[in-house]
Amino acid sequence: MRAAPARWPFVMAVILSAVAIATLLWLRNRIVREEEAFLSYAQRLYELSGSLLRPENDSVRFAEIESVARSIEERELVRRLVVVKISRHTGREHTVYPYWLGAKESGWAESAPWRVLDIASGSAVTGRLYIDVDSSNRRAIDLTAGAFSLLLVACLGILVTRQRGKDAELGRVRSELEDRKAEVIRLERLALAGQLSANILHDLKKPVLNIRHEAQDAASHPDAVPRGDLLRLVGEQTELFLSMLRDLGIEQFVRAEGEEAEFCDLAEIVDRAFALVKYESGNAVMENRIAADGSMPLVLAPPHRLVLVFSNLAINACQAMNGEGRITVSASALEGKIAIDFSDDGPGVPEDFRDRAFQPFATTRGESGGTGLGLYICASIVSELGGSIRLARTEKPGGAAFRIELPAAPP
Amino acid sequence: MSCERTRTSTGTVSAHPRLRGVLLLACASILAIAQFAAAQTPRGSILRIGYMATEDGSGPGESDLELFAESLWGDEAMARLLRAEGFRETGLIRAESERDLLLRLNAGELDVAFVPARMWAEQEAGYEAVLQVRRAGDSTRTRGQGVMRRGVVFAGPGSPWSDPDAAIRAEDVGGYLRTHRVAAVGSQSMAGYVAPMLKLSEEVRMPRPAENALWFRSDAEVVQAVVAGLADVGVCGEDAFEAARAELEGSVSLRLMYRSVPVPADPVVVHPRLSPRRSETGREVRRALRDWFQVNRPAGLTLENAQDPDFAEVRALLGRWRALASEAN
Repeated sequence: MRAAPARWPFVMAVILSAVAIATLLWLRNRIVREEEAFLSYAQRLYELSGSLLRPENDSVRFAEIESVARSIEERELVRRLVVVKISRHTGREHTVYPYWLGAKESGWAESAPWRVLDIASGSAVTGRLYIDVDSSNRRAIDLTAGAFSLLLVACLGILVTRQRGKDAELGRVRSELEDRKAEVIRLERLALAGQLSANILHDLKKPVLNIRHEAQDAASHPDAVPRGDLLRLVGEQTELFLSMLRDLGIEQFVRAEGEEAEFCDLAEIVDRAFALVKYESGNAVMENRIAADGSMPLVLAPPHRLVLVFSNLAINACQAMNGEGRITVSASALEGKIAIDFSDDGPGVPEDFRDRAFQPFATTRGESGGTGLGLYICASIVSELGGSIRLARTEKPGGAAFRIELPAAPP
Repeated sequence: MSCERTRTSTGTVSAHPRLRGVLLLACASILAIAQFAAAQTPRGSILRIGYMATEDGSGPGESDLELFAESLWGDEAMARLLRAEGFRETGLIRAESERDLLLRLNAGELDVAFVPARMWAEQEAGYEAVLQVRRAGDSTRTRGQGVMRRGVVFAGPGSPWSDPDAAIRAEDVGGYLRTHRVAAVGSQSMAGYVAPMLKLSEEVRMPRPAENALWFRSDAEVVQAVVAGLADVGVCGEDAFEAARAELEGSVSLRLMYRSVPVPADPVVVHPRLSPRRSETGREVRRALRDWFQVNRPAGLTLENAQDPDFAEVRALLGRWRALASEAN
């Protein structure tokens, strides 16, 4: 596509045209004033010469009329000059300069755009001056000014048209941008939905796998696990599974809608979370140091949300440690809230990742795995419960540490 | 003013009564002659040349006469003569009107003057015609010397006689002129006014045919006025009429109605003191004028020798003119 010509030549043309038109108008005005002054001078010259004599005398002084006419005709402004005497006897105008004009050219009065000036003697008109003024300069100025006006209008038209075109183009680009933005949002939502689906599937697998492992253990060692414990475990996992099924969809997944808040014991919640990820933790040791003697304040929250928070943190830690190392969870009661410290022995969180660790789809594992939604979901649930989660500094090098603060339920 | 010196001889005078009486008579005669000579001599030491300003080239202009005056004093012999006559310089006297010129002539104020022919006849100071102005187109008298001019009465494009086929009947012309304008040049002009107007009066049998005359200052202006329609009929010198007809080349209809008898052209007159018949200075001035005009031809004019008898027709015409005027009154 050929690039549109630059705008500045048109702007310059507009400015120059405006200046030229103003100058030409000034010049024209000056010429008109000079013309009027000259005509007045010519009229006065004849009146002072007295060559047309008084109105009651039909005679004239031809020689003086011609002499004055010659001096007037010397001016370039005069293209043709005719002097007439108004005869009292005939009541008509008679051309006395050139004296033969009336006899030779009967239609001379219509032959030019005459400027007619009265020649007065006292209060009476004795004759008239017919002057064909050479207005070629004025006409040239008019034509030039007209040309500049056309140029001005044309340039303004071009500029306005171009501006309108640009406005239209801008509108079109904006519209396209809006469309693309909507498309991006839609794609982002699709991607998010995909990631969430993967995460849901990942989470749904956990209770099912637990039940399968427990069933396999029970089949292999029927006496190793008391039947009551086994059935309770299967029941809990089944309940967790059903709860997850109810929560299908990202909105329900991160919000506690439809699930009743309960007074939760954090020690029990962490145990349930560790149990949930038991078969994915490899050889990692998961240590729950939260006091289970009832001394720790309870938290009013949907229990499965809390389980989800700690199971996600545990899974992340196990994956970071490649199934080797220790996970430690401890809690302390503070003024109106409970602070939970979650730490592992893994490689830790890179410095450049710390600021966006809780953003959705933020992951350190790249294409190899991880949806980047684990910490995001944790932060969303904690925030929904009125608490906070942040990365904490570890006392020794390596490892990751999280500080979760949740409001304590009123006693 | 120049005073001619008279020389008288002195000697021993006897006491004879008759001789004493003769001597007294002689002295008285000498004194009378001296007084007469003083009266006839132009006053002062300036050679005064009078003229009337003309705008149509019918006479010399001021600049022409200035050049002539310079040439007079540039000629050593001429200058000597003039000084001997008592002149020390030359003065140009421009008359503001015909009447002004006539008054100056009658007062003897001018030594040389360019005057209309009629004025030569009307002046009473004895001025003598010594030269005549010739313009291109002037005719020469068939018998002897003298430049003659004719006057014409002509019809303009607005008159009924502009058509070449229209008959010119005296009764029609007379009736027409009672209500229409006649353009004419100043009444001092013999060839331009008196002669043609006399002809017209005689033709239409009216002593005063042009009561509605419009006056103009030259023959050329008369023609221009008729062409412009300010007047329907014009009376002027023939040469101006013919020149206009030639200039307009038939594009404007100008028709000759009547042509006057020939009239002598305007003269140059000199004070009686400078009469060539009596004064060598007068003869030399005449010669100088004629020669200078012959060489320089101002406005195409030349001068030719003339004498008073050459203007006899002027007196005759004026006589008829005055008779007509008295008839009209």
